[in-house]
Amino acid sequence: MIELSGLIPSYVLKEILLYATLFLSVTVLMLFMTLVFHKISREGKETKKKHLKNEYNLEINQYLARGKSNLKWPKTKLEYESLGETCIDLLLSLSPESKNKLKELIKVLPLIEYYQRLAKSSSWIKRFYAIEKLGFFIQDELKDYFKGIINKEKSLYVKAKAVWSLSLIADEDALSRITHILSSQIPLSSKFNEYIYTNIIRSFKKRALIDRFLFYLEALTNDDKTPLILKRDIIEACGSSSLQEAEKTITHYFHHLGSHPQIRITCIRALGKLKSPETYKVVLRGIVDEDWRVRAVSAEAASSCNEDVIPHLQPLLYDKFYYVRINATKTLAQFGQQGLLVLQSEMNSKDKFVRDTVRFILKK
Amino acid sequence: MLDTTTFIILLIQLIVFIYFIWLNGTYTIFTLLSLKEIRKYFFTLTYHNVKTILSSVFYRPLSIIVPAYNEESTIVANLKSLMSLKYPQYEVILVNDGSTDKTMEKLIAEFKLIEMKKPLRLVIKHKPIRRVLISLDHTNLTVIDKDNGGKTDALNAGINASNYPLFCSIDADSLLEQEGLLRAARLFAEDKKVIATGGIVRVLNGSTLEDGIITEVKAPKKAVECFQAVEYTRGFLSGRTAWSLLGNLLIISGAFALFRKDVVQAVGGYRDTVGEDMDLVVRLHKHSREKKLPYRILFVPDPVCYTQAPSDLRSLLKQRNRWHRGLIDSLLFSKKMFFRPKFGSIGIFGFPYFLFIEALGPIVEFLGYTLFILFLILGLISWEFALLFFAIAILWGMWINIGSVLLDNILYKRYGSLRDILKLCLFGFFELLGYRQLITLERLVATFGFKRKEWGQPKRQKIELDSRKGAI
Repeated sequence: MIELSGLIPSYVLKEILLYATLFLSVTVLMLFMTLVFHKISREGKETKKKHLKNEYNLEINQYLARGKSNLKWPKTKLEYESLGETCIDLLLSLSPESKNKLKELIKVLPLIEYYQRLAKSSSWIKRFYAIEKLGFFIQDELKDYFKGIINKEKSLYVKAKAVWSLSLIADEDALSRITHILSSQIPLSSKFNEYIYTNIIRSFKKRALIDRFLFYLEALTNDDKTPLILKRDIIEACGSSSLQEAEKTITHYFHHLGSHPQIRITCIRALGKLKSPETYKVVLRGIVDEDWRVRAVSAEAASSCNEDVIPHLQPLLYDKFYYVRINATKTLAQFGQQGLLVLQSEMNSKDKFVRDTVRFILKK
Repeated sequence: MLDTTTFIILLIQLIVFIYFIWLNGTYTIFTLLSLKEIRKYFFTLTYHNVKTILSSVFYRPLSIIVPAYNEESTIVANLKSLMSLKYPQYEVILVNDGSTDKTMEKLIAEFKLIEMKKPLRLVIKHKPIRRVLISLDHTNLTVIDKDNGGKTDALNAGINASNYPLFCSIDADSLLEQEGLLRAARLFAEDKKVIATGGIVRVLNGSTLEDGIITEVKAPKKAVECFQAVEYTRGFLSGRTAWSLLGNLLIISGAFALFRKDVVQAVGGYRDTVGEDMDLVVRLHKHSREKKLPYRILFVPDPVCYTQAPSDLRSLLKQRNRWHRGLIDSLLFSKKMFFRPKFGSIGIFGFPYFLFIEALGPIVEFLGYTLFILFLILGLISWEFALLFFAIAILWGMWINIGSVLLDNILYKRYGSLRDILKLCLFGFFELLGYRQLITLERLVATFGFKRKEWGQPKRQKIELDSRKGAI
């Protein structure tokens, strides 16, 4: 031992090092054994799971085709998981008719009880996992269950997952519940909100309840408790879901909440996606808007209007903002002969940017 | 009273000892933290979840920027792989940074490129663009051919040419897993505070490819590649996951990183430095903290990017030298963050760790090795003590390496055979007996030459595509 100061007696240090060596040797060996054991057992499990999933897939398909099958009830955790995953795989890929049959089968299988048991776990990760699986089963009967989870659950992650699950089977009551939760308790990203409302719209479409959805949306216009951002996300979802019936409601939002640029942008974009006759009127207003973002979106949405909009687009080629110019050029190129004529007339423009942009678009 | 020599020796011993405990202790704690974090991640992002995202609105469009300089042997396979990614809306912008080999010719022939006069918005400065080409086969592929200005310059040109609000920078010698982009970009849709994310980078060498897509992951064949495979596993799985969890992530690998374009433009894009990836992340932290902007920079342990690791020692040492110079340069450039409470835990914890353990580590480590041998020769340390200390160092290193391989096996299951796993463990042991010291020595050289700016071009292996199947 280094003979320096006698701060720590050498025999004590030696003993510490000896114990540390022993401890590390044992743990390294244990880690190594765990690694080898895990690799071997994991391989076995994966093979078994693959085999089970193939078996369940075959049996379920037989049931869907003939109404009969020899589907064995799961007993072990692996069997439950394999059956659950097989059902979800099929639900995501089957035709609507077969999907309904499978949903009926899931009601009979002990899967829902299994995942509901798992959803009581003390670990939020397991609860999250179970709620997601239950959501994928798209069972109307689980509506109250998900509402209960949203009310009781403390973890925001699990709560958000329950909102997602509920959105897939949403009815009027669920819609107002979700809006309330997203307004007050789970401040998530706009994309998440849009995602949730596209699910809700799909669910309402299936139930032929779109009128009720639009009525709710219209009533929401002046509701102070719902944040403006959330209202914007719902409008965005209407556009993404190509909800033609929402045309009037979106126009209503444009006129009533149009003092906010974010609402103007979203309404114009959504109406553009719907290729609505209303688009022309709002686009004309948007093209001369003081906010360049509104002008940029209007220039893009103009592609869903008729040729009357062409003369209004031409000045946008000289807009102060790059994005407005680019969008106007792209849109003009979509108007066939008439649009191309306008672009060709700008090929020798004194503005280099206009010249280059037009040439680029025309060549493309 | 202690005399001066004894005091100095004691002090050096103490520094080396603290460094040893700090480094290994951090990695041990990080391995345990990462296990918990990665388990959470895998439970909360299931395969079905990803599948539904692909068919929904829950994504943001993005641009992939690929800087390329003399990459003729890998560029076609890499681009093919990028064009086959599963992502609802994306564009690829390849920036040819004045290559002097046949990179451009290969690209033009393979992707049917034609020249276009595309106007670009010059938000960030870069060297002049010679021409812009678009592909007749792939409408979402644009190639920018520009004067040579280095990787950062090429990335800045790519940012200017990009159309979408997010961009992903990827090295020309790297390949992404098909759903990798979707998994990394998901966070931007989920959380508006996220401004940057990075994924795990693994060693491509040894794996089998088909049409630019990895079909079988295997441990590399050469020893020098195997050592790097262990290093990557440890560094990404244990290190970055835990740093991200603590909100102190200072590095996102340039081989695969995603950024919000507006924030990167706000900090002036990439700075001309050899460690551009770390430098940008550090500056993003600095900018957001100074402006008091809510932000998150995250490491996502799942999206996997495969990179070709240097297969010869010379290229490897060059690469490590550059990495270390880049690290020091980034830390020096943002030195005002050091121990400043204004910058939160980054200033108090993350920055000092990177300075003392990562940047100055090679000096301490080299001193440790040298003095250890010297003391042994002079008889100041007994053989018994030396052996015990040596055994601890090796065993602790082994613990961390095997722990990382175990993490990898529990969560990713990428390696198919047990043989590959055992091979990595074996190299995890030998890494501590020569390889690590060699890398330390190179980093020490880099510490004293940190002002140099050259990159050096590593030797690349050709990715075979002619037979549709190939191996690296």
